[in-house]
Amino acid sequence: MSTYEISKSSLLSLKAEILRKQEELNKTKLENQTKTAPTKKLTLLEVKNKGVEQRTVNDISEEDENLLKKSRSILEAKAKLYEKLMRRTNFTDEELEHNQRYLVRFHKKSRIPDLPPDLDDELDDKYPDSDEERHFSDEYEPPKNPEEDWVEYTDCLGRTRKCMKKDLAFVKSKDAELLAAVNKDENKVEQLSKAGGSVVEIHESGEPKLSNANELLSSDMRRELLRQQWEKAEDQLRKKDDIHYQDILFNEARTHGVGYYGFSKDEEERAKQQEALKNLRQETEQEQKKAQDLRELRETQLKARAKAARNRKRARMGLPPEEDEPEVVQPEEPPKSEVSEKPVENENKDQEKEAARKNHVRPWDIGKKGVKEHYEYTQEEWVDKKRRERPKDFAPPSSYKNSFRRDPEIRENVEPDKKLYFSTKKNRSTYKEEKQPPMRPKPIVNECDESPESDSQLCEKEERRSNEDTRGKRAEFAPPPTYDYYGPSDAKKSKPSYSKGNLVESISAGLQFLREQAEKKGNSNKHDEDMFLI
Amino acid sequence: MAKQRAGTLEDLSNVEFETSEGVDVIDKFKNMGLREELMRGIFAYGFEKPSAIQQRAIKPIMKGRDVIAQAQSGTGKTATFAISILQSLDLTMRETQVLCLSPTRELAVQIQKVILALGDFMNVQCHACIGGTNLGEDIRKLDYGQHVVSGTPGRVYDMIRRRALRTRAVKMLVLDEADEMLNKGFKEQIYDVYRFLPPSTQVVLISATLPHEILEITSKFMTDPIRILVKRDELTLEGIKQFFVAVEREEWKFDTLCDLYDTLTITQAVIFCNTKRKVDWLTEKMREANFTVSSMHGDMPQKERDAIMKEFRSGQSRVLITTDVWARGIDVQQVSLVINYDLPNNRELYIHRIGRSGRFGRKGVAINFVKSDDIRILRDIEQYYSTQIDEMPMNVADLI
Repeated sequence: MSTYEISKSSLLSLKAEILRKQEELNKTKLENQTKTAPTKKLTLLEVKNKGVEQRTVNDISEEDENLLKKSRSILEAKAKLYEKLMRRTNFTDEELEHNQRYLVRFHKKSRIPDLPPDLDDELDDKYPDSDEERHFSDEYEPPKNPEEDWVEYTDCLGRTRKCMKKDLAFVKSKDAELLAAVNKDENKVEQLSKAGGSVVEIHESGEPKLSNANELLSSDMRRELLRQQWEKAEDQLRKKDDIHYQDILFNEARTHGVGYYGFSKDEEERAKQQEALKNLRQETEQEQKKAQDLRELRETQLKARAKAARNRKRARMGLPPEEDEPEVVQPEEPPKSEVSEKPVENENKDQEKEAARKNHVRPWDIGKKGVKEHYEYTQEEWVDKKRRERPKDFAPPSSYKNSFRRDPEIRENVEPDKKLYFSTKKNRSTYKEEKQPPMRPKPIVNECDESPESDSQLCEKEERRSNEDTRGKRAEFAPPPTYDYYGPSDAKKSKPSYSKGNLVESISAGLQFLREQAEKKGNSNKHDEDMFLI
Repeated sequence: MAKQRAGTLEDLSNVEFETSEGVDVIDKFKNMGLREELMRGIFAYGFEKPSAIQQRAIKPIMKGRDVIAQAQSGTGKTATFAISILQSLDLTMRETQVLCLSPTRELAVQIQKVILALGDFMNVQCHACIGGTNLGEDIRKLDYGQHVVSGTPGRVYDMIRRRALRTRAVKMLVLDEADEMLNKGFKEQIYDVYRFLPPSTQVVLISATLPHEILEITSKFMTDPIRILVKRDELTLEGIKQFFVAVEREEWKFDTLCDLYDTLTITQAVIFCNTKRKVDWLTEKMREANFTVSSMHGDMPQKERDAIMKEFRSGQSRVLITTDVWARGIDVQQVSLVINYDLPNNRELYIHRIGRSGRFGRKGVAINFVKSDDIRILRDIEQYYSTQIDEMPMNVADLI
């Protein structure tokens, strides 16, 4: 390999060269884009693959063409009929009845007096409800005769509407029909409106359907109707055994997830729906799996082809064909073993913990079947209990209290908590008073090795702890001069804090020690300490 | 760390409780090992990604451990235990396997609803066993066989004593709003119910607030529980903006409320008073002034309470004046404004009241009406939860 001297200038020039090239590239790119863009953009929608046009022509068979022609002719016929119906002004009774089948009120539409018949069509297209607007608008001319006076009425859907007095009878009759039709259709509608949503569902009882669109109904009325509806639903619930979410939803305005499906309240129907959903899901899964398999197949084929191509290339160069790479499984294994090792440790711990949990007896469980009848007190708990039972008269005098209580927290509790203006918290001081035994003497270190628990390790720890305790908490007398020779040979003790000349320093050290002691005490439970009470 | 020794009556008043170590975080429902029907129910209900508490608490509850779970209001605590319950059910057995107790009837009904919703594809049977309803019907429903019973302690205890609710198959006891359930009024009742359960029943405690003394007594009926706790300075939600309106006299609160009425009806609002009498009085006064409001408190017949709940849930009524019966747990998505007409009687209730708005990531506003001598209390709350309660701005409607 030849060596180049890499200097600052050569690096710079290299950089400059790279920048220049990049710029060039960008320029050419931009140019290309500007060249292609307009043509592309223009044809983006129209552009089609080759032969598509021809294919569509081929696709439209004669049959389709006939179908299209047919639908067109039907539509034309319909338009004619529509026009005719609209232009007619006088109907026979029979025709009127006939007309009522239509949802469009043709005869009313034709009553627009000012419009020339020719313009009719056009205008109707533009203002499809101009008639209604007129009919029900608030502004109207004063009536010429009393029959043309406007009156208000409430239709079966609860809407307040207006019409001419002379039309009232007719409108009422229409209304009645509508009500009948609505009632008849209810079963159908209910099936359609399963999804619930903002539309209030109808109940089998056949009462008028309430929908949020129906805002003209006074809110009190609506509430009353809803209440009745709910009561009915609840009555039905009482008869039902299996209750599901949809039964107790009661028009709740809650947004569900996209996957929400409002099942029917009918048990059989519900089962059917669930079955259908299940089938659909299975189908989807199958399709997904198929697609996945296909993709994999394609990939393997592609790989094989690429490999074949490579081999051909190699053959041309006179090399032997590529060998099959052994399937790499190895990297998967090591983590497995790692994972399996750790759990062994953890498992043991977990099992221990699990066993401890199993053996644990909750105080509230005592006395239940299969649990010991009585609580087994530990010694110190027993003492505690007995102390609580002891009459006050036999307690040590209260003057003892102050001298024995070295716990700073207790005094803290006595003073009222001013900041806590209110709280659910129980008053700490009273809480303490009943829990704390009236007197708690300092633990006495049991120097003979007869601790209540035979666990020697615990004992050792305790001893050390209590040694530390004595050091920190008592007024410290200067040790006798022979202390160094005859005292315990604890390494810690050989460098006591007070040996330093600086008084302030030693005081602060002592304070800190005290604090630490207090904290330690706070964290450990009193159980340990009480071991030595008896 | 909370150090505890099994089976002893130790003094825990000095122990600091913290979240247990080694609580796994599972950030997808998919990875929780839930049954397929349950997953479908979860997604159908509108959950997509588990919330913080759901990521942490579902697994340990499923494993059968005792769990104490705390999370901010409206972050999916009910769904947390509902999912765990549904996962641990044996649907082939028509016996009560889970007992779920809550402090109010409305909450018990709501929990029933959530369990039925999440278990919709499992065809789970869950009964709401609450007071104020027909006894005979309760007995009949329980006799039919319910997988889960969600109820209030009084009626549930009654049903157990009548042998209508058989407890031998119960394997889990859930106390929703646990701090309330273990407070003075309820603790005895909980104990009564607990005595009928098989020994070492799994116990799950859930609440947004878990004061120390509640955590202390949990050792009496729980075994080495896993704790998932929230520090109190993280207990208020960013999404709920808190304001106060200073009034000189009590009477001015009413005028302020009337001025705010347009803001109340933007979506839905809840107004809290401290007494039932005051609720009645305020409702009366609002109606006299031609404002549409509904009201609810514990002295109303259950039927009326039900109807009002339904109306409010369906959006038919938009402004609800109520007492603390509504403070805990009730979930109505559209509530975006809470007004404390009176300041609550304790700090925990404040958290619960303002938590009626801002449900599951939505925005919410809480407005406190304070007389001059109340401001001190408000400041105390503010400091305690290290949150911010500002004077109400002019554009409060924009924040809803």
